[in-house]
Amino acid sequence: MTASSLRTRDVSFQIDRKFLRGQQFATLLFFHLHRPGFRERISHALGHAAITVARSIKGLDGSMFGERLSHGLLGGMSQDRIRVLGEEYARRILAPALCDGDCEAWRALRAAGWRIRLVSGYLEEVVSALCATRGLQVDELVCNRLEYREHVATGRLLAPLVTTPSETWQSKGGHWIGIRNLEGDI
Amino acid sequence: MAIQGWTLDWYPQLGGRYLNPLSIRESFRQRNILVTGASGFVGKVWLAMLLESVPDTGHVYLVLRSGKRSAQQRLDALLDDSPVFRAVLARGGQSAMQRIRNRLRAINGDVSKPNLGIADDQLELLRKQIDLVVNLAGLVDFDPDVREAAAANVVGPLFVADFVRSCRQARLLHVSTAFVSGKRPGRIREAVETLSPGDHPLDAKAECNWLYDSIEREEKRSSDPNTLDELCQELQRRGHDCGNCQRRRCVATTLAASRLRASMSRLGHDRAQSLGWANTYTYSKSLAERLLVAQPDLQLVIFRPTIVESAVSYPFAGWNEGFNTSGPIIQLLGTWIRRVPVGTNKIIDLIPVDYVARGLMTAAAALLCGQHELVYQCGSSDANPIPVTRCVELSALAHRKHWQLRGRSWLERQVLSRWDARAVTDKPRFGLSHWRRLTNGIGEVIRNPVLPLFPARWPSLEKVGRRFDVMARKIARIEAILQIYEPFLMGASTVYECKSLARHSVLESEFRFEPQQIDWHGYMLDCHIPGLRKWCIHDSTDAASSVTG
Repeated sequence: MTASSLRTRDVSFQIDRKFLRGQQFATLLFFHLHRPGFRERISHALGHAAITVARSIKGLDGSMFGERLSHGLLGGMSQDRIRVLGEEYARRILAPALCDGDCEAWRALRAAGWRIRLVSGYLEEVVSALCATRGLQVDELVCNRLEYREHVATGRLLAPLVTTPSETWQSKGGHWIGIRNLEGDI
Repeated sequence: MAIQGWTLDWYPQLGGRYLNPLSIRESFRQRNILVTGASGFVGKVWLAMLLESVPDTGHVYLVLRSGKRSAQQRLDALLDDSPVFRAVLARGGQSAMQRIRNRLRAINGDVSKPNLGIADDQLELLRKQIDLVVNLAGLVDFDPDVREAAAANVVGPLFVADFVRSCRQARLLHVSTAFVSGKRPGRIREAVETLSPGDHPLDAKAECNWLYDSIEREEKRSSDPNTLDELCQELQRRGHDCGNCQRRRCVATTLAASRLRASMSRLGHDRAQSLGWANTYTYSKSLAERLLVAQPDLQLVIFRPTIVESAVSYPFAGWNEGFNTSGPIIQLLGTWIRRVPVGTNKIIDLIPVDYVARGLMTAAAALLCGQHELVYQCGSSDANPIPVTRCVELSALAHRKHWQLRGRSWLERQVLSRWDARAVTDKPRFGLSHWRRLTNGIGEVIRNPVLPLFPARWPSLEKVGRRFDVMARKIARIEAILQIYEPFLMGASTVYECKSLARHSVLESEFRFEPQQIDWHGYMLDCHIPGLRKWCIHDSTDAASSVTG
């Protein structure tokens, strides 16, 4: 796909291939395993694993309730820690896996004047850090946002929730490009 | 029409601001300034800001103590070697530095002497010329020998005030500390209190007399021949082989001097604690304020910064110097320490040095224009408070980032980076004192019952025992640091009002004091802690960090 083949001004990028599930499990597990207390690390990681299994059994994957349930365990974690862990996860795990070709296409589109929307089920802290790490400029970020009170996460996700790719981008219009996580070109 | 010095507290739309905005550059135009303590951390940054950003000032006279080097040589070293002025050179080039040099004058002097120790011929000239005296000199040591604290922090400012009163048109800007309020909780007003922090009536003059009487008594007791004889006998009893009697007396004199210093430090600390101050530094600074306010015919501003820390942007991000503010405790959080006891909802008032320099510029300009208040507090707790718990968390995260990216070994990169110090509000069941006693005990056990049982293993067991001793000493040091910083970490929360600075509308945006703009996350992770590592701890692993200069 080239920039000239697109007909409207907006382009939506998706960076998660299967749109969450496996990856989101790993991301949230990473956050829980890096909580400040050793006991918290173990208990929250086990809790997260239990919720993930329960979600699969009950068929809650991709549902809003399932999303809220998974992120609920992040409650009590400081905003500062979530920001740092998001940066760390993006730098160490996601950024090396993004294809250079995809990033080039992204930059080319933006240079050609396209408005880029990034859609992701990851947390905002992870996605914005990923963009910063790879030097990708975004006009609109559509991703999951946690609610904070006095710099501490309440465990609630702010609306709108990003659950499946189709719901999110179809209502926004424009072209849809999925970065195929991470192998091959667009 | 603007009315000089007229506050509009009753006029809600202006929020109690002064009617006429303050132009820093206009206020300093052609004004001659005398500065004491310019070689300190705050002094250098403020001086660089003044000389670089306010090009139309008159001469700036720096009072510098001459020892091995003359005042002029010290000034040259300050301009050539300090990273602050190297940054100015990098920005403006040689021509800018030359303009700065042309305005600077070095004066041989000492603030702890009458007439600031300045030669008479220079004194007369200065008395006619000086418009503003900025007293930044002081001893920033929490529990020093009380004689040194009194000379630098109490007598020094009084000599400066005497000099200011002898000048034709000079005014005094005295830099104190916000912690003169002692252990008093709640909101701290911008006023010089008449009571001590423990709410006892306090006459500063009588207190100074008591202090100097106590010092004299201690000195007499120490130099008493009987005391020296007792020390000699003590040395003999302990089996110290000092050669002849004269040599023993010499050793006893040295020992007496060191004991005198320790007792002087204790004297100041105990007196400060009994009156409600945390340490000798804040006690001596508070006495100076009270004595200055009582001086007649003195146009005075007292400037009180809180905990002055690394720069956000000026002279460059992360610049810091010295290691006696939050440095030791923050360094501690990057080690194997896990739990730091803190007070619930306790706020720590950190303020970057460039914000302090801006505040100083505003207070000085207001004083020059006659729009000033008596006390200017300069901190962040009023507009943008950071709780101690968040500060500990941010420090731990900054260390985490550092060890991950720059750890020297696998242990540092993989384990220490994930160790994460935490702020705890409840007292741990197994605290540092327990660890110290345990390590001490293990060392003792190895030496006494274990060593004689295994004579063949003597060298290795002795080595293990010594390691436990070293560990116990390290833990004792950590305990001492935590004790020094206890007033900043524990107890009820204190907020330092900064209304005086907020009242002035400063025309030039680069001089505006706006602590609400500090992003603590970015500041701690990208400026303060990398800056501490680079400039104070001199950590070689941090050579490639984000802080520049």
